[in-house]
Amino acid sequence: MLHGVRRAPVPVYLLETSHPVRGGRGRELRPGRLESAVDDLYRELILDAYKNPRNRGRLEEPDASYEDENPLCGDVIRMDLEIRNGVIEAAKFSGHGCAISQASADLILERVKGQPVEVVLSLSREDVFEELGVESLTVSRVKCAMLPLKVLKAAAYGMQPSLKPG
Amino acid sequence: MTASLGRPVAAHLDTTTVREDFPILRRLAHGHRLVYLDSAATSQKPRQVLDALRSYYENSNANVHRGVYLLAEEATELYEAARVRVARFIGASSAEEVIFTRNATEAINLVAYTWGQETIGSGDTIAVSALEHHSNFVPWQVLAANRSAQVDVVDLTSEGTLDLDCLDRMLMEKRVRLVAIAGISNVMGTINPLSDIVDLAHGHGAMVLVDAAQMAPHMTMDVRRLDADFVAFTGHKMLAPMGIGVLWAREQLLQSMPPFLFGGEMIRRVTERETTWNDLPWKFEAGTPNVEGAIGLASAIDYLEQIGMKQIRAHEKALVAYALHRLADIPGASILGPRDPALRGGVIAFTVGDIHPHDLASILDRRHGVCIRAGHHCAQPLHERLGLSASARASFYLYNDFEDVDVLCDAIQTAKAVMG
Ligand SMILES: Cc1ncc(COP(=O)(O)O)c(C=O)c1O
Repeated sequence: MLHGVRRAPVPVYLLETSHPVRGGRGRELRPGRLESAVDDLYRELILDAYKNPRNRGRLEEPDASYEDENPLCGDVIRMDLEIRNGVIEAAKFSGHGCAISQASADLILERVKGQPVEVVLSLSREDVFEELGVESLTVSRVKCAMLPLKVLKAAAYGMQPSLKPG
Repeated sequence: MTASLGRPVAAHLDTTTVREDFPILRRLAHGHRLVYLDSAATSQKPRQVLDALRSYYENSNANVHRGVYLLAEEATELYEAARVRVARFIGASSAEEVIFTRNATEAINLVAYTWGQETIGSGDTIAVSALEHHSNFVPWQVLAANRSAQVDVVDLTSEGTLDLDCLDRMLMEKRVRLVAIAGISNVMGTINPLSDIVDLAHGHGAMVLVDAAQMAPHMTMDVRRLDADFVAFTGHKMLAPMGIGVLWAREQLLQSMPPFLFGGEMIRRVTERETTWNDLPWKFEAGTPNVEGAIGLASAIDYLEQIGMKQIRAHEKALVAYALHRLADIPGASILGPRDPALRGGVIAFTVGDIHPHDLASILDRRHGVCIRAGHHCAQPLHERLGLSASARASFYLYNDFEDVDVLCDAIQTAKAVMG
């Protein structure tokens, strides 16, 4: 059933506009709507995880590993997992990229270490945001933040062929 | 904080007046004065161009080349007058030599799909430079694969300029049919020695396609003096709207090429059995064209010429010289490409220590309202050669001033403090 035309939010953030710009669902797009979400991006938590990662490195004999890149910016993340009785015993990430992708990799591994593999498969974008301590990210930076989880999931799927997507 | 003491004043054009023509420059970014340093990606648009678009839709909108009523005649006249305007701007012999496309990428693909498919054969070589944007690289790679031909990449010198000896050798040793080369690199800023390249190529019977996407907006370009065979550029980098581009080639060459896309507008006569093609330039313009874009481009050219292409080039050269000088004072900042401002357009790509360009760009934006590009700038093969996965890029245009350079440098210092 159609409930009228769904309109995408108008991506306009004019500061000196004389008429207010209306977005989806009649929401007024105020100047700074994008700005509040990103002010706190380069804060302690992310910078600390980036500068002093706890989970950077490679495992000698991983039970699962996967590597992927973000073709837009060339960020590369590799994840190595050691799994015993379905539990992630050890995990390391390697690669290179911006602070957001590297911090995201470190923080997400911190979260899943010692957890059953299934936990990885249930993680969502919101979990990544939670680990990074942000409410949201702009479109381009979401890709940076999500790359590590994508790689981690691929590594975990590799361990459990029955769970492979498609 | 700002080194205003040594800041030069704009001598070649009045940036204060120019800036007033660009409404977007009045907005703030994260509470700061907007410092737009990404004109190599797309330029901002002056009020004059925006007014021309509005006036077209408010007064003359109709489909072109179809109706006999007043509006249709007006729209057609405006569209064809825009073509004449472009032809004069680039020094074409006639308006028939100006083909409107969607952008530079489509103009290059047009050549690959028409001239290329007919001309390039097994064992032929297409020479491209190591500086090329993907849009002057991938179409040739695909064409070569389809025709059992090959693409060879002309090396760069350590200075970041084109290695003409390498091109010469290639022309000598291989059956090179086409040299596809950017007028100005969108990464290194290098201004390529086009007349030398054209002479070399023609001397060996090869054609030359110039990707002028970064050149047409920033310096005087005379296609007849240039003597290349194809020239492609894109409106949105030169104050016009997105979605309008240009292919130029000599009339005789265009006549000999088969059409690109098929449908309305490009036909002379369609019967159930066969179709004959329309005259130039419409043979290459299937379907309803971007009339608004063409009108916007003509208006943009009026604006640019009113300021003066020589003045714009001189202004950007001064900005780049100042920026190179100021960036050299920032420990850890490393600049890609030639050091001599005379050899480069208004583009500076750089890295700062091991700060990832994305982090740099985000911090510049958030803390200082500075818009720069971060990534491989659609030139992955070049970044691979340089051993980089990404770089940061600041690019200038007529509305940038020396203060913008100072803000850029202050912002880089902030990023270093945050990431350090
Ligand atoms: C050197 C060069 N060539 C081609 C292009 C492609 O322009 P467009 O995307 O408008 O086709 C660009 C712009 O990104 C460029 O910088």
